[in-house]
Amino acid sequence: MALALSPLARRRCGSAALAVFLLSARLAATPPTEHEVKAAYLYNFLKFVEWPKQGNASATGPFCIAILGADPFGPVLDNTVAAKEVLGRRVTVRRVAEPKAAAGCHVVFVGRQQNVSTAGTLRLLEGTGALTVSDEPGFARRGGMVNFVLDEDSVGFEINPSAAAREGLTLSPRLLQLARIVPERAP
Amino acid sequence: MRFGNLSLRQKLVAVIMAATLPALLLAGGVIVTYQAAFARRTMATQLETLAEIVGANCTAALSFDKARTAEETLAALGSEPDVVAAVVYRQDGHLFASFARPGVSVEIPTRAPMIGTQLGPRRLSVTRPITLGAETLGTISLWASYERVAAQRRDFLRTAALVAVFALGVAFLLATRLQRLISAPVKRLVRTADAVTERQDYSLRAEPSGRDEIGRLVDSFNRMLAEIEKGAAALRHSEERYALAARAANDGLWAWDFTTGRLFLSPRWKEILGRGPDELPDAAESWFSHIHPDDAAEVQRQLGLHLEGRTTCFECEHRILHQDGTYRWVLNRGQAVFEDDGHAVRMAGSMADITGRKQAEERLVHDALHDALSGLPNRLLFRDRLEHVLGRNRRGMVSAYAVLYLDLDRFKIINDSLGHDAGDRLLAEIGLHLASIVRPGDTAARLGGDEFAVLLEDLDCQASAVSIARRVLNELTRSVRIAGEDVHTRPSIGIAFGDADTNAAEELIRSADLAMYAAKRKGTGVEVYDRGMHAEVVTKMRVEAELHTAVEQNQLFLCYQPIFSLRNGRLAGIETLMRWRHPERGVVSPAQFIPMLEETRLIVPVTRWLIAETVKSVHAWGRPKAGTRPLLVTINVSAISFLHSNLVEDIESAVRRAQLAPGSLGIELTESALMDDPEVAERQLAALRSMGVYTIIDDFGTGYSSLAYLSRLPFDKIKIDRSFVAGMGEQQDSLGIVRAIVALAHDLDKELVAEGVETQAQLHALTALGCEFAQGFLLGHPVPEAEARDLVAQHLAHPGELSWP
Repeated sequence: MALALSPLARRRCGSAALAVFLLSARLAATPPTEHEVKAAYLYNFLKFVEWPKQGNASATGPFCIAILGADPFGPVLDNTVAAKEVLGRRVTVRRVAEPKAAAGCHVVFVGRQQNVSTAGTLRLLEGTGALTVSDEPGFARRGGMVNFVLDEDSVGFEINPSAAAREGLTLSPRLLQLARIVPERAP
Repeated sequence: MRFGNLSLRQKLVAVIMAATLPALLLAGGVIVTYQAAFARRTMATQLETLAEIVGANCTAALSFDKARTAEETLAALGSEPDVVAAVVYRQDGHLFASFARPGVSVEIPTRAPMIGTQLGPRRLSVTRPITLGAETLGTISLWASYERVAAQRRDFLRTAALVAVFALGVAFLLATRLQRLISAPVKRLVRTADAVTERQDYSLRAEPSGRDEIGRLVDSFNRMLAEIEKGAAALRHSEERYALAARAANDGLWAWDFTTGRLFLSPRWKEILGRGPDELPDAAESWFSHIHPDDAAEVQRQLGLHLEGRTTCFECEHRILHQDGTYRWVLNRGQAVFEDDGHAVRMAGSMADITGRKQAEERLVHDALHDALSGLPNRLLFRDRLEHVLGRNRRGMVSAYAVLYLDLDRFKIINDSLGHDAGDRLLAEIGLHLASIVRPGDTAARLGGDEFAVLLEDLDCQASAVSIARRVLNELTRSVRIAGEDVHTRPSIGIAFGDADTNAAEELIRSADLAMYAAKRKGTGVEVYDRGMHAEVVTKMRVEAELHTAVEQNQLFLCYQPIFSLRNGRLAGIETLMRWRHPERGVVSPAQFIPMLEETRLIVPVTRWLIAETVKSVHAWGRPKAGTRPLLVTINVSAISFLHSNLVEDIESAVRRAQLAPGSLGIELTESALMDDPEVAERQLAALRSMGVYTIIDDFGTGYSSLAYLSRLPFDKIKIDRSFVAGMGEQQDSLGIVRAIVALAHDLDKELVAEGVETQAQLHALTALGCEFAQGFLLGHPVPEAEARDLVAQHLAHPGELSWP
């Protein structure tokens, strides 16, 4: 993070003071874990995506985040969304084993699954109107919508806008601005 | 230069500019201030909007903790020129992402500032929350510099200044043009006023301009000019009239300024003194040094009275020295102008030459008191002097004094025969002579006609008055050659002495007059008045009054005296004689009252009565037989009646009315009646003869008849005066005269009547001389009408008998 200090600030604080300040900031905010970040991202996606009103994902009631397959977050996600609201709606987390169980959910995190191909899962999720997210590499290229990637030491994500458009989802340009846009590759 | 001295044009421009400049400055100031405030406010709003937008754009970056992306977003603000720095803070206030314009030093707080907008002195800062839905993600702060606004304001100010300068220029141009709308008519008015003042030409008029205040001012100015012009014309006319009147009055004018002492004298004033217009200096000395020494004090006194306010007008007649050395009489009038405190500041007046008037006045006084013909004092002055002496006498201050009264005998004859001019010349000569005879100090005067008087004063005794009167008588009794004729004059002089009893001048004059009449009557030349003369006059006056009564009361009556023919002794005629039966004195003889009748001219109506009465008698007596000569009845007619009345007409009408036969009536006239006015006498005689009326010359031989003249007159008979008849007996002279008269009459082929025959001797003598007729007491007394009638009747009944006893 680049920090430009004014001559005044420099004069006032001095280098010693600055060192203390930076240290205390580090001590105060212990860097979050990868899963904590991803959990926050899942929650944040609710804010930057618009679901169609007549879609399968419910237009009223709480937002629902489904975790399909293996759950890498544990309680992190629940903690993240607990007592939070998006657009005045609460957020619930549902862990499902099958894509069908995720019906009505707004976001489906596709975790690691046995015996099921990503493509097959995605095919099953077609028409549910849910934002599909996964940290499986190449997920977006294969027809998924948001794909967590590790970018140096921070979490980033790829977005396949075509896939989202197919499900009638509108992605905020500000979200797209943060993402690496990937084209869809025929399976 | 003070504002008040600026021209109207400059003032108007100055006023307009003075009004325009603050308006422009105020408007400019307000607009600039407002613009600045508006610009900052706009800038703040824009910055707030920018903060909202950028903040919104940073929501995702904040949510996903992508500071780099946020910084990229913030970097986009580099295109916003005002923004110098932009910072996104996390929700916890920590700095998240920032942007600072390169080259601009900005103090960026590490902690989020309060939300709001700060319009700082140098910078504008806006801090807005970044929200996503209901969730606040952090804050965004933007800092903007005012530089651009300031630059904008500078541009604006520059433009505004330019506009203001331009506007001022336009205002100035408009002001210089527009002020003419006001100043031009005023200027024209001023030019007209200047022209009027310069040329004194009030016929000029200012050009009319509109209906505004200036227009009304111009109208008023023009009306004022018209009034002034009218007034000036009236004044000029008035001055011309005054000048004309002054010239016509021929008065010299003067004006005296007491403050400068200058006394203006008009050319006419100087002309009165015989001086040219430039000759006398304009000083009081020019006037006073010429005043007659005897008048100077009075002039000074009158001037003093007027200047002290005690007379309303200075007016003084005085003499003034003319160039030729004589003194002229002038009338000086003037009036002073006084100040409030009563002292005179100036005075003006006129001086008229009244020499002619003065002379005329003196001449009038002289003429009123002197006789124009002789130059002697007249009756008025004589009486005045006499009164004066009387007054002194009453106070016992004078010695004896006397009045001589004289008139010329027969002056009337001289006057009538030689003409009035000759008479006047004679009177003038007598007057001159008289004045030279009397002593110095005595007053000789002409009282009127041929009557003169002398007032003798300081007499030693009464005898000296008589001796002076005698000297006058001697001196004036002489021949004077007038109109080629030697005229013999002789005065009659009466003397009256004044005494203590003499009260009135007229009384003394009348007394002298009476004495003069006495002298004339007596033929003595000089008589001294005594009281008897007065008694005589009183008697005359009484008789005169009684005669008037007599005529009115028919106290006069007729007697008839027969006249007989000396050839046959028969009655030949009758003389009618008038008698007065006086109520107290009985019958009065004609000699006693006829002269009085003549004097009072009562004789004229009495004669008319006499004629009528006689004709009536003749008519009553009856006509003579045919072929016989009628009796001749005669009437005595005085000279006055003969010459001055309608005698002929009276006789003619009486004769015609009574149808008397021709030759029945005759009139008896004295020689003097015929000689007084021979022409009239001749005409009258001819007229009477043509009527068949005889004329007889009465008292023949007693008058001054010119025989040559007498021979020409158409008369019929001559009556020999009784004085000759009476003297025939004793005095041979009378007989001779009678014989001569008879011869003369017969030579003239006239018949003769002798009157006053009282003796047989006279009768025989007359008969012997060949006298034709006679009358007298011897033959028959005058008888009353009844007896006369009998006599006539007898005569008519017995013709051929001698009728006298």
